[in-house]
Amino acid sequence: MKEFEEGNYPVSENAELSEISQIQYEFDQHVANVLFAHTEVEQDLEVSQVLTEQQVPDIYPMAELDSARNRFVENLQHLKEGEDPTPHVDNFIPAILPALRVGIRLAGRKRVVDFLARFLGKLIQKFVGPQYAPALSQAIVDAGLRLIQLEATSQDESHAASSAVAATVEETVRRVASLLDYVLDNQELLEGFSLEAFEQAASANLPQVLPEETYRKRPDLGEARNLRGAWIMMPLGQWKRYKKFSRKIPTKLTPHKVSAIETFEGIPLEEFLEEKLGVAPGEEVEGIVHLYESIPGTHLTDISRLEENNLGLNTQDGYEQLHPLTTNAAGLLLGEPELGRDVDPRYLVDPYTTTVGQRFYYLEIPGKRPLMAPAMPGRAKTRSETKIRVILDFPKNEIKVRLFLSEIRAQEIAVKLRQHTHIGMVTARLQRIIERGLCSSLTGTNGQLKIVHEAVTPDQWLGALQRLPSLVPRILLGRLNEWVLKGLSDYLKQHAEEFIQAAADTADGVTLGITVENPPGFPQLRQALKGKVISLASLKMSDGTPTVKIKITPGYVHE
Amino acid sequence: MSDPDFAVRTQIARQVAHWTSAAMRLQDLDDLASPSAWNSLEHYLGLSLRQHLTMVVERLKREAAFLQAALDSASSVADFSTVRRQLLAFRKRYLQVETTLEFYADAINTRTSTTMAGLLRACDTLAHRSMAQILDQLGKPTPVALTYLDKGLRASILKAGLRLWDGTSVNPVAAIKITRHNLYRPTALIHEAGHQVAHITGWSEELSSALAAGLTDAPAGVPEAWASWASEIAADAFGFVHTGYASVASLYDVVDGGESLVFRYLPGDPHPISYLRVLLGVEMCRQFYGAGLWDDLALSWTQQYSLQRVPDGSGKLLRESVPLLSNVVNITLRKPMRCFGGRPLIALINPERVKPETLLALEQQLGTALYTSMHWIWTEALRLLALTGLRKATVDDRTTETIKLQEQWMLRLGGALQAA
Repeated sequence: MKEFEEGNYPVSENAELSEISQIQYEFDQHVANVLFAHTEVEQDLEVSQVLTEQQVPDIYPMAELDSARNRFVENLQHLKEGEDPTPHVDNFIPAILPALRVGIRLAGRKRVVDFLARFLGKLIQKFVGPQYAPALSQAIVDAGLRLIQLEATSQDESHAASSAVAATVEETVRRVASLLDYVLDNQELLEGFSLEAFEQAASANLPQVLPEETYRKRPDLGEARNLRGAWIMMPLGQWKRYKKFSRKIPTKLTPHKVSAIETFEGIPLEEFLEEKLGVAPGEEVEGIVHLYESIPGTHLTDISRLEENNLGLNTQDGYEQLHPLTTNAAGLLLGEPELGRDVDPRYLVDPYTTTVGQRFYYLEIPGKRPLMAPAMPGRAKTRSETKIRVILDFPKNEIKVRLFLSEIRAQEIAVKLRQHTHIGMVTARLQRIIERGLCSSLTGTNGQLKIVHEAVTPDQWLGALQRLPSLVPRILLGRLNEWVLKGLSDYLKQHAEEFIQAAADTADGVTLGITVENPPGFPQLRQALKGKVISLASLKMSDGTPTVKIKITPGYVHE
Repeated sequence: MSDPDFAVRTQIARQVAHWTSAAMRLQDLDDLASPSAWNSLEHYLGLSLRQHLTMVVERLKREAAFLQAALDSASSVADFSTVRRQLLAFRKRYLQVETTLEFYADAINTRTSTTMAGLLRACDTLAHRSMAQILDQLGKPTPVALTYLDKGLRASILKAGLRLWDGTSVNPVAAIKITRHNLYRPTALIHEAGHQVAHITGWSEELSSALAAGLTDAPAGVPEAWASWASEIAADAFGFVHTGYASVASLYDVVDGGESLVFRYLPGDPHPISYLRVLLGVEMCRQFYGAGLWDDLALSWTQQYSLQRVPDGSGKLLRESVPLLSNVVNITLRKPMRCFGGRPLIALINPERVKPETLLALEQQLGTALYTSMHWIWTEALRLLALTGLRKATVDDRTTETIKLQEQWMLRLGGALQAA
């Protein structure tokens, strides 16, 4: 195990490098990864990882947190009867803060850090040391440690207990670090909120060790009402990259359930299962849910790579099988909404940008495997799902909609066209996809919108339209939907053979590049985005009909 | 002169060292097959095999450790005599394990190039899919399939679940041999997969009883002969419901080996007499598809192999069997079976789906996308096999084109699986 870890995590060596050489090393690494990425998806992943890493203190080596956490766990394991763990907490907290996006807020408040060390040192006393640790170890074993680690020794059990306490401390610190300034600056409020943060962290990281009666009176102290499990830091060696729930949960995937759950990019789980796993619409299947949680430094690729015993996840592109475990998803899939985590919508954009504490699930469906498409000779990639990207290009006075239809969708439409099905029926099938995709793009939460505008910088794409009166995005959505659908209807009527030929290509799916030229009201919208006051009447976008041009290309086409 | 006991001890110790060290060397599976050959296996298949073979070798290593411990603690002549016996047993075990490993190594190593790996991965999928279509409905797990290439006329299968040469482990995969001449028309794969399905469901035994009971009006000895052929009849029927006429035409080519082979009756051979086997396939086509290409095939068969020239040994059985073909098809395909949950085979896999007219309509409806779109190749793989098999069975000038088409869609299917 040690060899494996050392082989896979050169970071421990990097920690010894100077800061500059480390930055150079990481830069070279990223460039090399982008250059040698085998597929566009892998390239996207690398770029996203770089962008994501820029949001956290990027020169902080995770190896330092790993080492500090290991030291802390070891110190907890060796505490003597009655020994105060506070000094160890005191040493651990400064190592946690640099790895947290919000950690800087505590790093500058020594008073708060000192308070937290004393406070947490006292609170964890009931879980550590020779007197209490065995009970916690036993509770973790009861919660399913051996389901993850088949041959767990008593040493492993003890380590798992201390590790759970360390995770509780880490999460408490993270929760406190994200408190508002007025709370951090007021001692009384700080104490109250810190206690609440600890209780929440303990309920998430420690198995249920209190008497049943306590949980009946205080259900908030336990995360799940019926599922008894524990979150275990993984992998089991020295370096931790994610947390895993000790139990796998069987669930029945009914059409009703999967249509009500969204995965990344706001894609309905129903559509994902059909396009990526071949679950037929309306098919009811049994599934097994595996749960994961991110910790500082987690990439979803780490989870899929390190889950060696999970054959469905531990594959090339396996990370694409991980979905965000929101409270809605947890409620519908597990009947335990509290196990879910609702996060800022920007962490639901794609599997590359996630945040600490976010939870995910993998759906194991016996007999179903990811649908693949041939890539380079001897290689395969998972098939892409239907998606829409919108570019509002104000200087060119045009809107570009890139509609990628998955292979299943493209064939569905090609068959209808070959059968000379009424175009209205073909377009109606597309309408649901387009309406949802445009809505998702223009509401700006899923990263599918790009705005080319002199006053809107890329970091403002997400919220630019939301800053306008709410009626404006609604009108734009309605009109764009209308223009695109009419354009598609005409295109399919006149160029059905072109679509059929593109769909018959060996490439995975087809991309429809739809350009809406000179859309009415677009110049006024341009002014509005500059902050100029424009009458709502001029933003109705109803004066005239724009020209819609459509080009079809086999496969997925970037801009 | 040396002490004889000492000399024996020395030789035993040396041999123990030799065989235990040989056992240790088996653990590197990359010595068995090249990493590229391992990588050419589909992910699940590669992992299943690696896990299984590692377990087999680990068990042998434990036995080696036990042998070494026995040697270390031996002190008396009797002790060394015991160690000697254990050594001989271990040697035998080693060779058994080696045979097991070599079987898989040879199978995996037939994936000699990207093209061959792609074609064989496609065969793995076709075999697995054919089994899953029926086993899923019966709530039984479908084994992973490992196909490999070999010389010869006939395909064969080492069924999953059978005990292997090492005597302790059970074959984790359905290992199917596909012959080189049939690689581009691998309907025989489906026949072999049928054997696996019959093994899992107990179909052969039930069909054997049903044939014995259903042919009681036939002269003595005839029902018994048909009952003894049940396992092959079941596999032929499985091939037919999945690939239709293509399976019959393919069978014709394999068994068309001259009168001495076509009329040969070997008591105890599970294969029906070849003459009857082809006509049984034709009868399946006639019953489900009416008149068609198979009528000419049957005509050609009976012209080439006239019953008037049958040797005395099998003549009576053949002549008394021909009138039974219709009933045999009825029993095999239409009779409800306990092993199928009280349903007949055709209720689980409908042969109408591979009727020539249906296949041609499918091609007409989907156009070239049927052969190029991964969606259709993946969802209609078995019908593509039936369709291209049908095309090849139709004598025309497009055989080369059909073979090319077959190769291309199979490579796409094979390329669409992840490498291990």
